[in-house]
Amino acid sequence: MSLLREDLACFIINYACCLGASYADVRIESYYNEHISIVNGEVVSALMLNKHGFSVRVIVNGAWGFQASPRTSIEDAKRAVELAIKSAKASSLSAKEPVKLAPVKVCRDNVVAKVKVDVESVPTEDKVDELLEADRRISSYKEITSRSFSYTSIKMDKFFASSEGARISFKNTVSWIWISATAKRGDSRSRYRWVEGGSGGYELVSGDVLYNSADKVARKAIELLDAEPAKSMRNVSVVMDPDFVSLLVHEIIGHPSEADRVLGREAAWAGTTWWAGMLGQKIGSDYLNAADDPTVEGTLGYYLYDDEGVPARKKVLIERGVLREHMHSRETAAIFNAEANAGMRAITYEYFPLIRMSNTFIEPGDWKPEEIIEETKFGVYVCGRNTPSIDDKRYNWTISAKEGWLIENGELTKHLKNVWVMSTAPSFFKSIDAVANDLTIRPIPGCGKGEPYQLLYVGNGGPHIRGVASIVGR
Amino acid sequence: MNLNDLARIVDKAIKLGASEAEAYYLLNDVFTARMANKKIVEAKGVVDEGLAIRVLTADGGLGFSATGKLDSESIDLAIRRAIKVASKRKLKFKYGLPKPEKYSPAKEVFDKKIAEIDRRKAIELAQRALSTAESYSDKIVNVSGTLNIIKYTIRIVNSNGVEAEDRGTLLEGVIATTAKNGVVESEGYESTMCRFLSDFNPEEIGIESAKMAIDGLKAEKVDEGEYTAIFAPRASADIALRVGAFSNPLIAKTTYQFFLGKEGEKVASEKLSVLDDPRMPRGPYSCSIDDEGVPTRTKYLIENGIFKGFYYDSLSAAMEGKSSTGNGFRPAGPAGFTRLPGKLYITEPSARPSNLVIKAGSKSPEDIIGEVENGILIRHLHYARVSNPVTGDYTAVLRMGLYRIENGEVKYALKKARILDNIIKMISNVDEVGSDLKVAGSWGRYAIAPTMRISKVRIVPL
Repeated sequence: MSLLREDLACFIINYACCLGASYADVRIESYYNEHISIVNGEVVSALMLNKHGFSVRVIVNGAWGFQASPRTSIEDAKRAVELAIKSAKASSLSAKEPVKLAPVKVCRDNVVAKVKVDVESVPTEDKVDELLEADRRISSYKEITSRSFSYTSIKMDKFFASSEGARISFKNTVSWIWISATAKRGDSRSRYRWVEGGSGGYELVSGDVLYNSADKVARKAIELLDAEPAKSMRNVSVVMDPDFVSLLVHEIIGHPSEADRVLGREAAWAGTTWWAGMLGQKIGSDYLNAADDPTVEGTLGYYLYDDEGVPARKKVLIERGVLREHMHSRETAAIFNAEANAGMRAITYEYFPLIRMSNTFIEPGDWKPEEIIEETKFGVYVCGRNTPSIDDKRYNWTISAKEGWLIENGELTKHLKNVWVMSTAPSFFKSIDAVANDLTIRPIPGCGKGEPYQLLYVGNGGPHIRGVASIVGR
Repeated sequence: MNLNDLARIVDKAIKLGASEAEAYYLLNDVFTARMANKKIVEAKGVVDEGLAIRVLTADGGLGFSATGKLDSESIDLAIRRAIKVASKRKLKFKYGLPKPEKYSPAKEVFDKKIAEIDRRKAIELAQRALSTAESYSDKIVNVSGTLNIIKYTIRIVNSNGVEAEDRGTLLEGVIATTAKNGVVESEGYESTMCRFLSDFNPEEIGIESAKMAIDGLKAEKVDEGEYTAIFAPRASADIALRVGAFSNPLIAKTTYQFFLGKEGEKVASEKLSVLDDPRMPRGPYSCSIDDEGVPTRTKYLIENGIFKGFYYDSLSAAMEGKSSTGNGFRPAGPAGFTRLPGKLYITEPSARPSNLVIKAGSKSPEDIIGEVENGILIRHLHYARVSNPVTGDYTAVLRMGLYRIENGEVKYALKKARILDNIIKMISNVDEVGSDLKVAGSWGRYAIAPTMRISKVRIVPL
């Protein structure tokens, strides 16, 4: 026998509490996922997936237990609760300190993200046609030797309920498209890759967005054929565009701000954080202000309540160079004696939520981007994120850019490729001396963390910024 | 869902217009105990169950759709979606779903004790590994890790008469430790993946991990240079995994072209032989059939340095006019999709390796090390990657488990360093292979590898 969503949630919570849970929450979720991949005009994969299920998370004797199930009958619900309770009880035998949760406002809400074109209303076949058309258009550039398009959309209908009385539903769709092109002329070969997307429907990845992005990718790949490989330079002024800043922020502000990393709980996997224990200390220049804000509509990191039912707000991570706040779960907030700030998310009901970035960005300043370039006597302007290489404490970092330009006397001169920017987090943070007013939040669809591994979509960004770093030519 | 249910789904797909159809069912049950800060922080279970439909249409179309909702309406929708999308995905070569073949069961891949283990016993195993590492020394300041217990069943039916099923159990244990002495910090790591509970020794992974961390407290700086490097099994396993990726027919066309057109040619040292061996008893990826019902078989990828050929699923084989080698497995989906340990159903089968095995040599690891006058021992690779797919440039962080060898003896630990070399050069420079074959790996990716000696490996201190 199946129950309605709210009734099922109530049943699960009540049963868990009857079996000894001091806290219980349940997430009942439905998904429609779609993914199409096209390489050189051929459909290499087109998959559609419907999914539905629930998970129950309990605290018994101060320890967590969790069980997820794709089946939602009363019998399945009972079985899942019993397994979660057993897991918690067994785990509590070794618990040194009981789990405590920071108090939160108990909310009842129904949130529906803005979607113009429902992804399920457009047949997958039509999407394939549109992608093939975009591919056809850029195949006409004679230098382009290979093209690929990878479209993903996840339509979700989530419901959260807790034994404290929270009842929150959230309907959202996230969509993104990766486009890449390789160009070749003589011995020169180059590749350019770009992603567009956010919270919203098919409108985010189709029509002019798709065609214009594809054209930009092809043109960029061709332009890079004439770029010169960057030469190594120590400690020069580096001006970064918002897309490059998005990866920099992701790696050296976002990840180290996760309180589970700060506490050493991610030591075996993602790593730890160099700034553990440094809240309130100055770690960067006065120009450095950074935040994590899930409430920005239209972004990949958009939500108004996290997967613990905590109401979302903007988190001020760094204020005028001072480390202010970490991203928290209710459990880590209690450990830090801090306010829970809605940092917990899971990719589906099948996963225990983790502390994740939502939209992490550097706050805008008052410079115009072009003023920063004009006022740089000598340096490098790096555009577009490529590949990061970061140590496990997020201290030493090297990030490659899609392209760069030499700046000489306030003007962009040589076009550069193979540009790697290298520094340490504190020395770069302290060197930031100009921040522009063009805040842009870019999609980062695949942020990996957790065991079992979760590849989650987040937003990251900032405006144009300038600091000092080394350039490594390769 | 049993084979009869799947047969009915296949019939339905044919009725709705498919010329051939396949139904694949998965039931994957995973329990994870996650350890951090010297305690068990999460004990979590998940059941993943679903159905994947693949159809061919008379005009050469291929369609795919999956559903975790197993009511008849959702299954119907999945079939219709697969057929519809097939109209837009026309294959440019002749392709048919696999035909039935006799298969024999893979040996020793299912353990009733793992399948029936209760939560309490599972957590006790995690706790034993944790406590062993913690109590190894008072300098151990952090212990983290994972215990994954997995059981799965797959069933496949297609309209050509394939009717097959397989099942298995797995137990993966990982312990990571941090040791501290004053301001000096170092790390240790040990992991294992086994099919039988009796093969799992929680104390061993705890001790080995802690020992590596403690060794590192006295680490000395390594000078930049080319070294004779002894790759312990976990480091060798990464080399096996690279060979596995280079022997993938699709990856060879798009990314790593090192073995493309090289069948029968020398690509590595004659000391190196790498097999794809899905029939290995107790192998972590052993299976009777692949994920499209083709019987699995053992094959050389590299034999005495000669590239023997790619492995194939039925589609990639058809593309090249070849036969499937029984390597059609369903990989993890894109970002945002489920990717639990164990088996998956949400993606189409494609060419993937099973157990990658480096064929054992005759010398013991002690003998191999004994012959090294001046070299290094690498026990763990972190963030290993081919940084340039065109040239084969290879980099890995030696974050822990790096030791100095002098006059045939492992002398002392070395501080963090990086391999900056070339994978093609490295596989050509394998000059000795040990007899100590072991299931080894990290981050859920395992191979079966022995100790290997590789000459002239370029090491740069961090």
